[in-house]
Amino acid sequence: MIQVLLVSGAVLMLYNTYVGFGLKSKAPGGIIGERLAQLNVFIVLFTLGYLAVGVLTWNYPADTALLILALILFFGAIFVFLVLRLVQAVLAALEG
Amino acid sequence: MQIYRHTSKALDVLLSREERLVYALCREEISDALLAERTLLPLDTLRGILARLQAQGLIEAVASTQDAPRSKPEEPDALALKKARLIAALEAELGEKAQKYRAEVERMQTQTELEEWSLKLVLKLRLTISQKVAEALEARIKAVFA
Repeated sequence: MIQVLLVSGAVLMLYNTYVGFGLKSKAPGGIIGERLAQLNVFIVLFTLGYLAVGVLTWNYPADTALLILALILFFGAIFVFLVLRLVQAVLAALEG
Repeated sequence: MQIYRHTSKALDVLLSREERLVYALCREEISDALLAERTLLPLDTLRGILARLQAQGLIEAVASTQDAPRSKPEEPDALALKKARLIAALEAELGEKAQKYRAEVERMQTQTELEEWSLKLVLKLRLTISQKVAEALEARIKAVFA
């Protein structure tokens, strides 16, 4: 269960990294562009964090603390995904 | 729509305040629609005044819409001028990138549409390209539509 959550979160974060850098090319500057650059730095850091947690805790016995950590990381990945969807929608509205 | 102007006859009669105003505005060729806009008089009242002034020989109708559409082209000319100024402003601020907006500018049919489009462009630039460029462009756009 914990491994599944960690892997799902890490995969989602890798996808978020790809989407985040894709969006940056659509908004190279301005308010969105500047914030997106900062957001991308943190997305990369968190992705590395997910991978590190996954690698370091892979053989740990499952306990409540680790489960809570895995859940927080997984929902964090969903949060980032939703933020990027919002940015995508704003950029699409500006294009239209 | 009729276009009126002064005759060579000297003003030797006493006119009411509204008649004097209309007479003064007819110093240069002017349409009844524009007169109504400038004097804020209802069109019926204005036509009555124009008829009286015409009867007194103080003004004459020089053309109607059917035979002289010369006041109409002003609007397309103004639109074309604003488009040209807007494109120049875009080129000054965006350089080569301004070319991709040229077709969109040319597609605009009215000045309101053009102004709305340009303000939306400023917002888009502010959010996605550069706040500095957007501010400079906004100042230029305000000058174009002032």
